[in-house]
Amino acid sequence: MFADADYLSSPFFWGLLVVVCLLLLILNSIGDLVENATFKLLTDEEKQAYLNEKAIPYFRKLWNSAFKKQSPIEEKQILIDHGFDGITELDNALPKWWLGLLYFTIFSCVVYLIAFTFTDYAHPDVEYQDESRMQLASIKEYEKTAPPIDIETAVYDSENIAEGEQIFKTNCISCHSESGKGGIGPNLTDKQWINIKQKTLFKNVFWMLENGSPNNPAMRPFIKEGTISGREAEKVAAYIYHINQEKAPITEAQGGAAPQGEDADWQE
Amino acid sequence: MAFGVIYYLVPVMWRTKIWSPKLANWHFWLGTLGIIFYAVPMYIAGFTQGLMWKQFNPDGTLVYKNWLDTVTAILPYFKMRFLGGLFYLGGAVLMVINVYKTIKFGSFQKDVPTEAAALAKVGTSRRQGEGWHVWLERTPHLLSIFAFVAIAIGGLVEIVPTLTIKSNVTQLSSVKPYSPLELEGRDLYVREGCNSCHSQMIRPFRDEVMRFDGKNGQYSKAGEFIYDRPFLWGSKRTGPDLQREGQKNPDSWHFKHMYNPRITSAGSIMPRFPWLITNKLDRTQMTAKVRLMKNTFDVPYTKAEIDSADQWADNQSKAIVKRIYSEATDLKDQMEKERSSKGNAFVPLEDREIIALIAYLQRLGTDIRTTAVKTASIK
Repeated sequence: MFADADYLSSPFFWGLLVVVCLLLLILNSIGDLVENATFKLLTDEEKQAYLNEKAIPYFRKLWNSAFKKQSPIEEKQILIDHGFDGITELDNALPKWWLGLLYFTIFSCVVYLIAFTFTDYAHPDVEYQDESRMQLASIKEYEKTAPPIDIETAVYDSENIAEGEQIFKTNCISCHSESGKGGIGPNLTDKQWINIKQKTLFKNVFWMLENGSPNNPAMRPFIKEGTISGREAEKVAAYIYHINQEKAPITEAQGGAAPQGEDADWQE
Repeated sequence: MAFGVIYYLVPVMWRTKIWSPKLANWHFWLGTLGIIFYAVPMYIAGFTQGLMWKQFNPDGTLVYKNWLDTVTAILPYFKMRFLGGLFYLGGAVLMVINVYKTIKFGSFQKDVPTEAAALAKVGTSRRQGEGWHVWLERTPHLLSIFAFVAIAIGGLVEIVPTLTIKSNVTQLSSVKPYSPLELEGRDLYVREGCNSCHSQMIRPFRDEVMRFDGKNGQYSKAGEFIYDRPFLWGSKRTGPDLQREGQKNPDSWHFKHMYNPRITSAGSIMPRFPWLITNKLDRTQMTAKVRLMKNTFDVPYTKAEIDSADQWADNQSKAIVKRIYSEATDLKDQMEKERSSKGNAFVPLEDREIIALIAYLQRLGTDIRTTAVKTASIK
């Protein structure tokens, strides 16, 4: 409401504000006139009582209308005559703050209905389109400084291994199990590879993440479907390079899946 | 309110005083504290988890991609809620003790013939200057009629338009009815109460679409649910939204996850459902269900589909079992062992409840995927 404050530059907004202030001043003057006229009609006693009441500061009046209890004589006047079991009910005046809130909510309802009917205000699908557009634009801005990684620009960096492991844990262990030892999906730590599409292991992993497996649809094209970004894939590939080339393979005896595919002869 | 009523009425009805006012006071404060410890941690948890869900990296990926990270973050609040519940329950136990003792030392007031006091004659002087509200309160029949009319108008205005205007819900041509096996699976989903923790509606928020349907995904459209009777949108996300869960995880993953969620997802707080693995699926009502969907809810099943429902379910369940066995040989071995030990009492995996549930889960959100890739870019 305040962040994208386009309305502050709108002449209609300021014009409306000025008109409303003028109207409030006029209303105030009319109120004073009415008060003066009715005051003159009161008896002296009533005048004094009225002036006493007027002398009470505003917030105290508000507090009183919420919390002050009435005197026993006043109570008799507002006692409602349908009690049972000794439980009686008093017809208290509604507290001013409560009434104020009630009128405000009714007023807001009217404003909201008009706004919703005639503008895009609070339409979830439109708000979503706007949010998407803004986010995609800000991503584009960011990518000016950090261009998206694709298979050509992805490089191995040992710093990415830890984050790659986290992404792997979120997306991959449902099939490839922890540490990539395989289960539903193949063992990623051994020398055998089913799909050899690139010359280096690192790029091959990236290729698989981008395009998915040609023979098994469960290995989805994670990058193309938008589940992970190219940057994330670069990190995952670093992790898989690490568990495949830099750590010992998890053998069948240790719980890993059996080798599948052919011996891969990775360049480096 | 119920507690107040009980504490007031029991002494009156048993013509005595409450056995321990002190215990009653303890109940009051325990109950109050219990409510506070129940509600306030959940407020905090809601904000914490919600803000975590919505965090984006500058490159447009989610910071907390893993659902379980957000759940783990609010576990302390769940524990505080449990404490609140204990307090509240403890207070109620004190009340039971108090009421029991009060009754024991009292004597029950049997029915006494009595009449309501004659309606006070409301004189004209009293009626002078009374507002219409007080007037209406003195005429109960009229008040009831007016109240009913007011509520009826509100109800009709809210409900009738959406019931009668068919074009309110855009039909999506790619959305097809559930297969008979999937219908059974859906009923299992309802029976096990899955929709009390898992929602099935991706709301139009960028982070939500990103989390549950990827960068090019879509939020849930009304037309996707036309064959969901009743809908399972849910109202809480203890666990992630499942509306686009279909084909995200292999069948054997679902098998293991239902058996014990912590096998596949470390740190999960989802309860186990091992009986789904052992129970035989009751298919005696299956064809009747399909027929009911068609006759009562106008779901467009053809006569051929209804007649071949059993065969259809057999084929589908066999295919799922085949996939599970090829993905997870350990499960295949386990089943073999069971078959040899149980002999005639063995229920083949195809006939068990888990297969129906897997069929349903794997179907969720897959209809719209055929068009999802085409409507990828958001303008």
